[in-house]
Amino acid sequence: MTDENGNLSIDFLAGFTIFMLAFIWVVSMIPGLMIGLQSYTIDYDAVAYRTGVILVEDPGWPFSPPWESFNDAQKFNVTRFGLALSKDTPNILSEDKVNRFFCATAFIYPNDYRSRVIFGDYPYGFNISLIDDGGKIKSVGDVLPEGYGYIRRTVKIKGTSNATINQSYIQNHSFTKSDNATTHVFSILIDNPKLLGDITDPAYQIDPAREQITINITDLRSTITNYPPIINNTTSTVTLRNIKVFKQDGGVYSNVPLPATDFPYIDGSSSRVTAMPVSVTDNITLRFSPQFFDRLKAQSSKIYIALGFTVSPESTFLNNTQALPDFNTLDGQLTFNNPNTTPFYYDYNPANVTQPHLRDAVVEVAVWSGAVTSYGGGGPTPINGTHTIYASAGSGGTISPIGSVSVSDGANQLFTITNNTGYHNTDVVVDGVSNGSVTSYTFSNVTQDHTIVASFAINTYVITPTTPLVNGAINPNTPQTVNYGDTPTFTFTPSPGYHLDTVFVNGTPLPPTTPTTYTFPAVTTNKTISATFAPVFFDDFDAVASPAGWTTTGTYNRFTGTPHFGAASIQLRDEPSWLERTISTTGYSSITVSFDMGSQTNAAGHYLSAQWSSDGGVTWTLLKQINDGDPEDDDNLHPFSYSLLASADNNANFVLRFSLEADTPGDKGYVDNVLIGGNPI
Amino acid sequence: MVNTDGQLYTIEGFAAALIMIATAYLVINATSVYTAGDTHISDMQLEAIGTDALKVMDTNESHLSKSPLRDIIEGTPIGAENATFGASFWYLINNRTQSGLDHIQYSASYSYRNTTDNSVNSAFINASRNLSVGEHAVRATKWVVVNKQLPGNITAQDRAVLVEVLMWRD
Repeated sequence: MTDENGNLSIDFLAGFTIFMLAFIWVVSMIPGLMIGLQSYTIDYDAVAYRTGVILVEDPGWPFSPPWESFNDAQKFNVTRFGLALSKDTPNILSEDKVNRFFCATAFIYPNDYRSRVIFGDYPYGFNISLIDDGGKIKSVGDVLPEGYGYIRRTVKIKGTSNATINQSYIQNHSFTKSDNATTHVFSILIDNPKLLGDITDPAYQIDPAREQITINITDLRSTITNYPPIINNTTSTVTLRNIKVFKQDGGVYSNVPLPATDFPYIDGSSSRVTAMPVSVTDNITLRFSPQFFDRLKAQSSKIYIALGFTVSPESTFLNNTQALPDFNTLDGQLTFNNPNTTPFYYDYNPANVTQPHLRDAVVEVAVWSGAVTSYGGGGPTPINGTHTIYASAGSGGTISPIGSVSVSDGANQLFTITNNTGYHNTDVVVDGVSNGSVTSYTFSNVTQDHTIVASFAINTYVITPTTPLVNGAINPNTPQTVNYGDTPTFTFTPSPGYHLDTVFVNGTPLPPTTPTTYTFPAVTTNKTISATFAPVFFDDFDAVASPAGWTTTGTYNRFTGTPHFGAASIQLRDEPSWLERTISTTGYSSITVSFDMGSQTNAAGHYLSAQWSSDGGVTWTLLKQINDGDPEDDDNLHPFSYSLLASADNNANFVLRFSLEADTPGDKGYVDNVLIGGNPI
Repeated sequence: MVNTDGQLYTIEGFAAALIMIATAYLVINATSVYTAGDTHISDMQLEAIGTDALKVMDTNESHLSKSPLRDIIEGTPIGAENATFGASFWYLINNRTQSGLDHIQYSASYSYRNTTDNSVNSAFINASRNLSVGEHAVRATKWVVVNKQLPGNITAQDRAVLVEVLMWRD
């Protein structure tokens, strides 16, 4: 007999199973929520971007001592690569870090890199490359596949500082000032408080605990100076006995052993010496690892590096330190030869130390998926038989051909640089390197892509005004540099009574553009500019024939006694006398008249007057009358000037008259420097 | 004897499964947004390149020198073009390690405040070529401190100007 009890269990199992299957299916759909928002390309781009940020903006870990100072045996302590100097200096990379990162013998692609810079469980393939402004390429990774994620970062690389102590430097600093001896000590001072205090920006700071420092001591044999008996310095022997490092804290010296990993390089060898004493022929290179200084914890200490030498036979040699009582047992205060002798300062003085220099570079990161097909550096080598030369030109000229130019592998390509009229070629930069203002450039045997950029600048010319001018001024009054095609304007300011008469450009007379200005047409060469100024009329009566041209009545004469200005004045005397002249003001307006006048009359009613007429002498207008006893009646000349009414303008019948009203011998009137001015209409 | 009691759990399981699946289907379809993601990545890459290039150009080469970008702005009269900027910037944004030069074009200017009328004016620096209709440009900017007599200033003084570069690909 059957009942529903058995069916119930089966029914429950079936229902529960269906529910669980559906539940699992739904849960498995959750990751799919993200599928619509991602693609493999985006994923690779994101990983490349992240990698680029880590490389360019992060200094890596450990930071102190810096990871790049770890030797090959210590490399497993490096947990993250980062090439930035510090977190505060994104985009500025450390040269030490860059060199270490791309060291193919220290770090093996892909595993050493994947776990320290790519991260993630997914086995990404990647290529990281760097090119600096010298065209030097460093690369690690695999050949690029068809598709990959990519980021490019433009950066600066901070070069390391270094110093060279050569013969001339040694002589200039008296570093050989010593007695004839076999034992010599030369000291170098690394003043950490000063180095870290004078410049605090890591981009320009010399910090021995972060970047290696290099000191080259050269020309050692040349520093040997012989004392009698004369010896041959080429047969002398120089031995570097030891290098002592002293850390000075608050006046207290402590001796720090120099590890063998920081021993010097001798005579250009690529390997450090393994022991001292060591024989030296001519030069020593000291290159200190940041790890060494970092271990000293010497941020507030001065570090003295003292090199002990033995020279045979006795001679004067590189020496700035007293080594008493004995260099090998010296653990007290360093003493220098005399108050004028100092250690060599490794500091921010560019005369002592080549300062850290930042140079441009580009970092590229490419990331993709898939099996690694080859190992080691080398990077992508896309060879398809042609290369691209990208040619461009700035404003002011052109380059031919221009744009992307495909060139077959191994072929030559000529580019012609042509400037527009009024411009000149200033530089042709090929792959970032200046070639000067060449008019053509040929890429020979093209095996890679190139760039060529032509720059131009507008021609400039100098316009030189002649100064000072007579009876006027010019503005501007200094040489002016103007661009090709410019139309500069010079303004002239005549002296009172004068107007701009003629402008001279390069000596050629030209009419002014306006009554007071001259505007150059488009300038295409250097120019000079000057001008002459003229009055409507002027007579100083200095000419011997004076008053020629004047109508005269009574008694008058050219007078060279007192008073007069220049050579002579005109004297009217003794009886009613006058001096009259018709002066055409045609072509001028705003007529002014000035003159010097004075008298010496002897009776009331006698006077000297100046008058003008606009109608040829029918009617007169008085300008000035000096009566007997007036202040100007003092037998001297006095200046007078007037602006006349409009009736004097543009008038062919303008008349000027000076008259002496007198009837007594001894009455005298004087006239000089008659000037009539006006503005050309 | 068979009755309906024994199929109750099975039916409930089917019902629950259908409800879950239908709910998940509706939720997923209602919230998924498909975007043109690659376009945004491309923009990001261009912006990163431009920002880096401006940063590099505004970095002194040593503690004894001024940044090239500052030199260019200070040494170029307002309204004049500076080809030096073009040569440097173009190379920085187009240089690559091994696969030839990129084809990024740019147009650069800077903005400053005219203290006389409190307006913001713009001064052109240089362009590789003009932006054509239909080309998609992105922008990179950088504040640069220059010592320059800008309109509105009586004398040269330290002023922050905003350098702005539009970049697009050929």
